[in-house]
Amino acid sequence: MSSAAEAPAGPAAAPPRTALRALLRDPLGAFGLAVVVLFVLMALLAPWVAPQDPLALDVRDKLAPPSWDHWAGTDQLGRDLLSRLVWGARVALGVALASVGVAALLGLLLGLLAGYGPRWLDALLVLVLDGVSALPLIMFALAVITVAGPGIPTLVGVIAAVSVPGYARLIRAQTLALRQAPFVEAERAMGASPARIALVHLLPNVVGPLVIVASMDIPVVVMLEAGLSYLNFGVRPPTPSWGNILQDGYASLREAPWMVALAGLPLVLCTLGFTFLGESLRDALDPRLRGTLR
Amino acid sequence: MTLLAVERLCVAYPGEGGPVHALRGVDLRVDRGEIVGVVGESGCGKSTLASALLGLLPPGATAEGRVVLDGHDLLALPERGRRRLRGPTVSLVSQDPMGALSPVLTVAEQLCDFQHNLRLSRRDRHDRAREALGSVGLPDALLARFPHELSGGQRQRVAIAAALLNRPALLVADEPTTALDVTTEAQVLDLLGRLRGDAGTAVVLVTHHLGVVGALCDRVVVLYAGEIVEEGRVEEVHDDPRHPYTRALLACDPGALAARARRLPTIPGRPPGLAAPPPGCSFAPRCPRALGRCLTPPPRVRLSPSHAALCHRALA
Amino acid sequence: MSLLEAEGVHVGLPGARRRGGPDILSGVSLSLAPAEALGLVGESGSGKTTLARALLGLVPAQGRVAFEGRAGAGATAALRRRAAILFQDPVASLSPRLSVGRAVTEPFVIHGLSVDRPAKAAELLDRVGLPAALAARYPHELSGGQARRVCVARALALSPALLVADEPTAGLDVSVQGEVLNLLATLREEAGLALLVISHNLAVVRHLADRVAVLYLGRLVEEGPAEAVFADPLHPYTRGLLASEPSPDPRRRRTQAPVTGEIPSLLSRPSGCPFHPRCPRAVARCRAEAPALRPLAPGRRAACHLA
Repeated sequence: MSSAAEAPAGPAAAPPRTALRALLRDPLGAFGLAVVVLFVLMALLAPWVAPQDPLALDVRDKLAPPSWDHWAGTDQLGRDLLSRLVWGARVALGVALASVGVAALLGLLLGLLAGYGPRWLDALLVLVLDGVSALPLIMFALAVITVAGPGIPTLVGVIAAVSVPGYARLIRAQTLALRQAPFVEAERAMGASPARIALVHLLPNVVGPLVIVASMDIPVVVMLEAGLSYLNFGVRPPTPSWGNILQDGYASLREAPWMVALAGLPLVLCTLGFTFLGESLRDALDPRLRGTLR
Repeated sequence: MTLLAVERLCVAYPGEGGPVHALRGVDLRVDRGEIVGVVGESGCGKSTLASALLGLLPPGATAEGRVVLDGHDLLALPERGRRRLRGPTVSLVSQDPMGALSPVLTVAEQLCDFQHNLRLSRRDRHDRAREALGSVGLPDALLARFPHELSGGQRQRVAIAAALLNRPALLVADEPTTALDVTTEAQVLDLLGRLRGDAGTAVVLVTHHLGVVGALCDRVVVLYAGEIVEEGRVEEVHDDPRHPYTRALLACDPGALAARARRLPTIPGRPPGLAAPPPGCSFAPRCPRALGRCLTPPPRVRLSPSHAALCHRALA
Repeated sequence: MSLLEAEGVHVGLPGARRRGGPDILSGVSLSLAPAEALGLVGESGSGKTTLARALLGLVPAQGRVAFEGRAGAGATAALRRRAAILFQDPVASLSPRLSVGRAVTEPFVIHGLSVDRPAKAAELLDRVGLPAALAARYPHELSGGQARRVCVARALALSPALLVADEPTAGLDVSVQGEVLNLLATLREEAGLALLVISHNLAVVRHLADRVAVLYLGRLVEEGPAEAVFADPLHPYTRGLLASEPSPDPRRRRTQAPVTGEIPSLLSRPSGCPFHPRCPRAVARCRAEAPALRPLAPGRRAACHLA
């Protein structure tokens, strides 16, 4: 209505720097960030951080309790538990980031196509995506892995495949909403091709929520990988995964009860850390909520 | 007979760098049956004034002064007391009629609902609703419709009917025709003009459109940067504007120019920020007639019993 | 040779059948000469915004539209380069993640023309009276007035022959309306730009346009030189529009609204002349037969049986 001569129009998008500051002010967010950084470093620097070779067998010293030699004890084959846990972080984060990354990229592409492309393509894609999301996740994962065999690439592929519909739907909804926006019409009027509009003008505006949802999915995928590995459908031994370490711990529950607790600890911590970080990030980046964080 | 007396009203909103003074010492008097126009542009404070007249200032706003409506000081009353006045004594018609009407209620249900504080049977309320609709020139058939099924003009008329249901002494209309086509606007203005004759309702009409003021109002006050810079009978202010802002505003109206102009006049600059209001005349930075003494607060110069202007050079 | 020529433009309601179904616009023919300013006047439901979009090929339409002598697909391609449109909401017309500098030079990139982006951006901003420093800002950081000027700068990037302004003064206070209108008038003189101004505000159109076309419910009802149409309207609707405009002068207060009723819905279009239900002078013929737009004076056309 009024021209609001001096006041800037519209809500200000939160610039990264102030978002980071807002994040750090939230205790849970700061904690989450610290934990995530810790685990990422652990995963990246595993070869140097792990005190010993995770695959080195020492059967005589099996199921030993925590000691100065082995800070977390040893497993049923005498391997140093701590080293296995550290390398497990590499697997967990590697699988999580790879599968979420692939799924997000694919979801972004399909969502943009469905939202901005011709109507028939949208109808087709929605049909396919709904079909995939109708599959019960664990059953689908088990079925594929039974056929293709367990292993990290299969795992990443399966998890990515079931995650794509959610992301694609999100991007599609955002794109559909922006399709009618005045600036899109303005670009069309200037002669911009649909590809340019989709990539240069729509993509940056729809990708925000995707980043947040994807980062919230990382802990979910970490859990998923652990679960599948626990069931021996995920990462195969001797490669250490928090899931199969838990499985070993469960099998040796009588003799070495500490194994289960110590194996579960990084899993829980990592998941919590990512969750807190993701939630705090979402709150920090949402310009409407920023006032309440003060 | 004075219905509304606003005395030295100051309203401030909390702001990032300190309070923003939206209204700075406004005095306004409205008699029964009078139509007073409040004219101003963006940021002058006219919407704040409209809210104050209903005792509906947003939480966080601080108000000083008095808003005496039919003998009651709205600012001194608790919310319960103010609520009793809304409807029977004062009611509001705002710019966006879609926002005023609930989208899930039919017109009849809405109009009956607005009468909730009257002890009447459902049949009586329905009858009054039909009567109200008729008084704004709408057929009974619309009673069963939903707001989204009506045109903008019809919706605004329903909003006016709703505002008049309880026969208020004062109707506050905040930009009632801004969102309407000019042909519909003409009809709604006619309707508002007839109200005075029929029910003796006084109207405070807040608008940025000088034409609306000319078409409907008895008196007009010109608001700039939270202050009344000129007031008087509409003929006086139109024929002989004494404040440079009023003069410039009248000159900028494209309809005012007799012949086609190569360039339209504008008022250069922007209104002052109200977080730190200027010490002297708030219009001085943009005024073509400013002098040194305009850095001091201007006096309110009385030009006739009804006409006054806030300007050092009002008489010059 | 006219710059823009439209003949029999028809835009149907989305979802309606091709012929005979309800339409937004039908049978609209008009032309625009180089460096001429044409005002499109009408109220809500008149179809003026749709007409502008149909002329620019942004909305599917039937009929013939020729631009710079070319028709059909050739016209559409030429319009993308040689015509620009200013939309009603300037802030929303700018891509939120693009800086001002990149936004105003966007047309060059779209059409594959190489240009020194920062230098060109500074030049374009200067033409509309904005500081070059604004190039680093983002749309949400601009005021309404600044955003409007940025849109004008962007529209001028490729030196268009035609500029379409959709409600250029919407949301602006009266004291600043002149700024954008004067800017358009100046640019027109400097660059020989043709203007198509869409507005419901008659006074604005009067000062900016050479000729004016009045639309009612998707039909062209009057057309002619602006001064003549405003001084002596031939169509009852035009007369009603002009008379309905409230005047600041209390002495010119009307006793009665000149035009009663509301604009009918596009779905229940009146038979014959679309204005007859609201026309004070309607006769039986007006209900039966739709009047054709015919010349009634040199350069003036009106669609009324009684004119």
